[in-house]
Amino acid sequence: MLNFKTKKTADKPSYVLESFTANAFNQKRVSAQELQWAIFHIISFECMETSGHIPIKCFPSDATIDSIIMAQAHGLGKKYLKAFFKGFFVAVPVTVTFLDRVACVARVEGASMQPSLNPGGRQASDVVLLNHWSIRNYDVQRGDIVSLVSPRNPEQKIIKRVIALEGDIIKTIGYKKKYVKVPHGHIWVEGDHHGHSFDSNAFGPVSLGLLHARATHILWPPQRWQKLQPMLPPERKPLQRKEE
Amino acid sequence: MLRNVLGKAFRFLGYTVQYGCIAHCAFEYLGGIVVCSGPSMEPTIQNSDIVFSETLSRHFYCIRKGDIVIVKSPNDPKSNICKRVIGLEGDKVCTSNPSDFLKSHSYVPKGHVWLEGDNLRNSTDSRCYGPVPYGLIRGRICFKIWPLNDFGFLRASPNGHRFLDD
Repeated sequence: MLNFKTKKTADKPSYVLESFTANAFNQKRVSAQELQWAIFHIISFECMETSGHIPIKCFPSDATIDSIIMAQAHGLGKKYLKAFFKGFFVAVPVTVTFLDRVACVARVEGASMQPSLNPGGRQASDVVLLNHWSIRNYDVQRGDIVSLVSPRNPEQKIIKRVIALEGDIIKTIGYKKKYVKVPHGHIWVEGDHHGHSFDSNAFGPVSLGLLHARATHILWPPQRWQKLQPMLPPERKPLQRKEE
Repeated sequence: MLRNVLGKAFRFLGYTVQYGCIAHCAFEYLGGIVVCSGPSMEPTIQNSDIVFSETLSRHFYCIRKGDIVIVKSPNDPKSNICKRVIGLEGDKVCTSNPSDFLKSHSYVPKGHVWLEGDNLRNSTDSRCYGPVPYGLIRGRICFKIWPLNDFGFLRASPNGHRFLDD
């Protein structure tokens, strides 16, 4: 119920009304019906005190109620604005962090991963789910499809298959050296479409720090929805694996 | 009672997630406070100095020659190193040690930077592992916070001769 104090303001019931409005109704602690009831009682009380009877004329006028409702609407708008900003400050960082740390979705462009991705060529491009969480400790397997920041162009991300991990010896296709031992903290990545892929055969082993995410599912188009299994082409097996 | 405890636990969890996410965004997109260790950047940054690093210039690709950057180590992605950018892509850099008799030069490949510590005698840097991809850069160090008597922007490189202008 309402708690209010009536001030003794001899012939100014409006003053009480004003202060009451400002204190209670703007803070949205009472409903419109309670508000009308309260106004009626204050005014009655005031009039009783000053003149000894309740005058009919002291019912709150339409103008008063309008102004109070307006004040209420103003408070309502303020409240929604506040709630909106609060939600905004929660939702945006949470979403950004989720996309950065857990998973995101990306469209694959280009033919370098045919036939695993984009088998239809130019007209159809696959949408893949990139899992950031599974590579948070940089543990990838041979055969995984991963996305990484291009070493040649940092604004671009490339999607390739991991062929060899650190310590493996790999036979290259058209790199400056015929056999390469992948150095510590590096991986060897290749596209499935040899000859049409800009991969480790062009820029050498890449640092694990450039790793961005691991592609786990194809999401779009719907008929190609599938889980991407780690698959190492048999002819691209490392010549010598790192001694475990 | 149980409801009360559960409600409190969920509220606590929610606040933890929220502030964790805000912290992640701040560290990822604005910058943070970093404690440097190791002798490779002496005398500009001493061992266990506290510096402020910003990541905006990495996102907008405005890293310049002479900036001190924090980089993921190319050989160990879990550790970070702090070095000075000596050359950007296409620049000619001197790849030999200052004590070497024969000077050797090379060009920094596309999308890479050449990093060197200020303490040339005691620094493992691009002279050892070659140019570093730009994608490994985490942030740029703007000013030093601790020790207080050295507060402010960082000094220019003491090895000005390592910058080759051509």
